[in-house]
Amino acid sequence: VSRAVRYGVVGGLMALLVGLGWAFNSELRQSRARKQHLARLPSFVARGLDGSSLRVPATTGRPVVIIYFEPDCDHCQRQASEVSRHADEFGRTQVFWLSKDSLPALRGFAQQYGLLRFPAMRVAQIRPAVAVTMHFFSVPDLRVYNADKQLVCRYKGETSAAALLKQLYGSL
Amino acid sequence: MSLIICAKVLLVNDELYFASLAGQMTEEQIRHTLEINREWSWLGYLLIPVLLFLKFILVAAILATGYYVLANRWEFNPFFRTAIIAEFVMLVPIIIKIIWFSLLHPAYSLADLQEFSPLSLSSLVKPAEVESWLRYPLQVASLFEVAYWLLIIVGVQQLVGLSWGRATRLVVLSYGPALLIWVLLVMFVIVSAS
Repeated sequence: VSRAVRYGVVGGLMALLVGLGWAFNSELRQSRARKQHLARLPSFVARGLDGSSLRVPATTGRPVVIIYFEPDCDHCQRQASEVSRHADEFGRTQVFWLSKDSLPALRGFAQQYGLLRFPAMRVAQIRPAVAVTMHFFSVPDLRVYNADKQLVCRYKGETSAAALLKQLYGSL
Repeated sequence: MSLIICAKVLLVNDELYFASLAGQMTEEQIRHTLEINREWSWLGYLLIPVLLFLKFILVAAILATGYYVLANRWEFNPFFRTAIIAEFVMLVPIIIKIIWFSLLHPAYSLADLQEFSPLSLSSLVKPAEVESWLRYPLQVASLFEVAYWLLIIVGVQQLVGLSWGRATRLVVLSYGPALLIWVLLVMFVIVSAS
């Protein structure tokens, strides 16, 4: 083997190791910063179903449940049925159904699962940049924040209303 | 492969899912999850031999490249055979897992099954005490991994005809960095997804 090939293989391996190590370290720092950032509910603006701006959270001093979803996702549809069945129990909690999908699709979803019948429920569209900031990358993604906007827990995947309510009442 | 399927059949059942997921999901949601699992289980079984075959190819290719760089000769088949033989040591933790959970500790959860890693650094710490990205390297750092390395060294020594010292050097300088890269890659993915 020529010296060039040998140095090439060893150098390539070293470069890969160093590169991966650097990428991992950088991702770890970002992940820690993200966790710190999301430990408290950031305030952001979404678009309500009528196209108007909607601030999240809408009011202060109330617990907040954020449900990131996609109207076409089976799990999100079952999640909507589950929450809708127990909607009255959410009481003073603000429940935000957030999605990047189009407003007509969100309106259809909200109507199909009767989410608009409950004053605690809001369905809104968010910009892709907000989804990135909130680190939404799978659906459904559920987060429970207490009245002080502190993250109480996060569930990835379908979650029972009982589990959400348990977290909420514990935080009230 | 049959041992992996055996472990799944013996240790994972509907009751375990219901007991482990009851805190988050309703019965209906768990039942639906089980249905989806059953529907796609064939894919899981199909992936086992494919992934094992890929592992053998990859380990053999890494060792062969190391041999090419260090000895200026190209061999693949002896390294491929070595990778297959060494893999047998990885069956021992699966056997221990089956015995441990089916006979010694029958009250277990899905998380217990996922985190069980006998004779590794991971078994010395509580999973909740370490960050998620650190669990995988701690699981890899086990006596079985040491035995795997030893078997590869012996295999290289016997099948390729290298001395113990040269076989060790070859494995440490080729498989070692490759394993490090793999572990780093897995850690990177875990951190990105968390």
